[in-house]
Amino acid sequence: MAQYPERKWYTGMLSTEDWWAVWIAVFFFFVSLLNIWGIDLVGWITYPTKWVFSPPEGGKGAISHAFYALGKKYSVTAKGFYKGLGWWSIIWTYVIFGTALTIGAAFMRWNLKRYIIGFTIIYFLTIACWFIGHHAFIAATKVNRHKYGLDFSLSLGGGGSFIIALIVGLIIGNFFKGFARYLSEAAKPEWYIKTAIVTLGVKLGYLPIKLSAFSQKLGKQAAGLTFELFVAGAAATIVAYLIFWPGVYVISRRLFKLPRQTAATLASGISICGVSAAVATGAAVRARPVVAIMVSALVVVWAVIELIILPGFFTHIWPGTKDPLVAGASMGMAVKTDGADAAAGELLDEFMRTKIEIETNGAVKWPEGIITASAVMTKVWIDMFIGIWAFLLAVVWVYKFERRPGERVPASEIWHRFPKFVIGYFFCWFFLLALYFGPGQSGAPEAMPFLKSVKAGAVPVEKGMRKLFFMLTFLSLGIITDFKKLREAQFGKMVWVYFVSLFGFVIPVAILIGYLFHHGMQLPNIAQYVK
Amino acid sequence: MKKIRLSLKHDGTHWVATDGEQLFAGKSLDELDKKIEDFLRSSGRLQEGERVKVYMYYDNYSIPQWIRQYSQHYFDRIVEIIL
Repeated sequence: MAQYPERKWYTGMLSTEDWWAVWIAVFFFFVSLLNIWGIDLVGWITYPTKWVFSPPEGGKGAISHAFYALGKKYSVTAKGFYKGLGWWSIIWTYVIFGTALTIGAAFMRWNLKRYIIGFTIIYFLTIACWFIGHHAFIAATKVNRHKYGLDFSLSLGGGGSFIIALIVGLIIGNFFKGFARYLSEAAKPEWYIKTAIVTLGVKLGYLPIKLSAFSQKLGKQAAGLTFELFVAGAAATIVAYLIFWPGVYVISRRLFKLPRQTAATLASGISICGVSAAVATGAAVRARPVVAIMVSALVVVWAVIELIILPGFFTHIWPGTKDPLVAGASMGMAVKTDGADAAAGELLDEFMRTKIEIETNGAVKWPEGIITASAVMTKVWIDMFIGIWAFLLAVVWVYKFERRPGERVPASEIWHRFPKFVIGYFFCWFFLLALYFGPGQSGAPEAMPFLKSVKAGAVPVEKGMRKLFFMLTFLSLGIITDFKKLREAQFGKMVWVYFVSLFGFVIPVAILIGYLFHHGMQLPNIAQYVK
Repeated sequence: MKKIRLSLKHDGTHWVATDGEQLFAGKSLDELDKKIEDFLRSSGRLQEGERVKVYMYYDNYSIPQWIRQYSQHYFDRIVEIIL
């Protein structure tokens, strides 16, 4: 007999999205660190700013400045060069990120022609949504709309761009299905969001550095807060695996009389981490792949429904700006799939920061990204244990329920299921923390020149690259979401199990646990330090 | 102990294991395991009482591409057969 190649621990490092999210984000992170030696190779990353067609005299918002290269603002060594890029930074960003992503696509054996065309369309649609979403009528608040010569604005902050990208994606996904199918080669919300989450690690590590520039005390407060979020987020693991899962499993079996394999797979999809949990559980209980595929199709649609409802609910109904981190943490426990959760967290971040600024007439401003981090942190904790969960479930299934003689469950399954992007996320976070506490001397004034050079590299990655990949995620999520799937007969009872479990059990318990573990955590106020 | 490595996938109705030359299919995993065991017994290349470890690696490329971005791994199994 011939032999099929052995699967090693490193198998998939060059052929899976999960690893490619790490390679791409960590590559640009390391390139950004060249700033420490005075070489700025990331300042070209494009970023939008609010604009109007006719800016008032002496006001802001010239359309010619609607996009700029972040190096124009933050570079220490090449400010002049990056200042000249202006709108051309869009093309630089397209070419460089497009090349990096296409290399990944080639290694993953995708159809390159379709990927390049699809990515080009998705990228420029994303830029268009970003541009429209930053019109001051949409993005400006009552605190700053006068600078753009406006008496009224929607006050959506950066959230408007995300909403527009999602709507455009959903229109394509639901009304232009042939086009959506064509774009599907490049519409990869999970790949984009995993890359964005790794850059969120850069954001977390950079926060103390950023706030140190305001005051050393604020920098230390930010480092402490992110660590508190990390510790409190651990509660989510217990909630998802030991409260949500048994609850949803019982609802599926007792109330809806679903077969054992389907109930287990569905319970994981609804209560743990969406599609990856459904696939892991379907495999653990040795279900035919079609069971996990059906559950996954449902998860994707319901996750987008949550993404549409929850950020607005948490911002305007409860808990509002009193407890933004309770909202973020609850989001991480309730919204399934990393893409929808991180996207919902980012939207919540924009909504909450805009709302507090309006409520206090600009007296309170929160740093961006911490609320997003609270939503991602709880999710990452849940994600990290899916391998162990699936392994234990497989052991119970194979040894107790099915009792198949001779079969063993390999422990390597735990590693194969471990979400690799989490490694990149923690790596970037802790690397920057080490720079902050080490040569950065915890933000001491004498270390400021060093921290400024780190900042020059970190900002384009944690701000420009992260936001762009979030935008790509919103658009791609819309493109792959077909609401008609909920009406397909094959899903039958599963749609109702999802509805009952989510709104009657998962979301209320997530809010309760979020409140118990995050109530009272305060975001630093940076209003006196920023314009 | 002898080791055999196969790829595994589900074609919609059958679990299919193959090493590229030999192909085994069963409606259930039990049926699949039985067919592999029968083949090993009849092949004549192994002795009575010999232990064989059959590694079945799921062919992750058979997972629909839209799902692979969420999860790239289905499951691997090891079945020990005593001839």
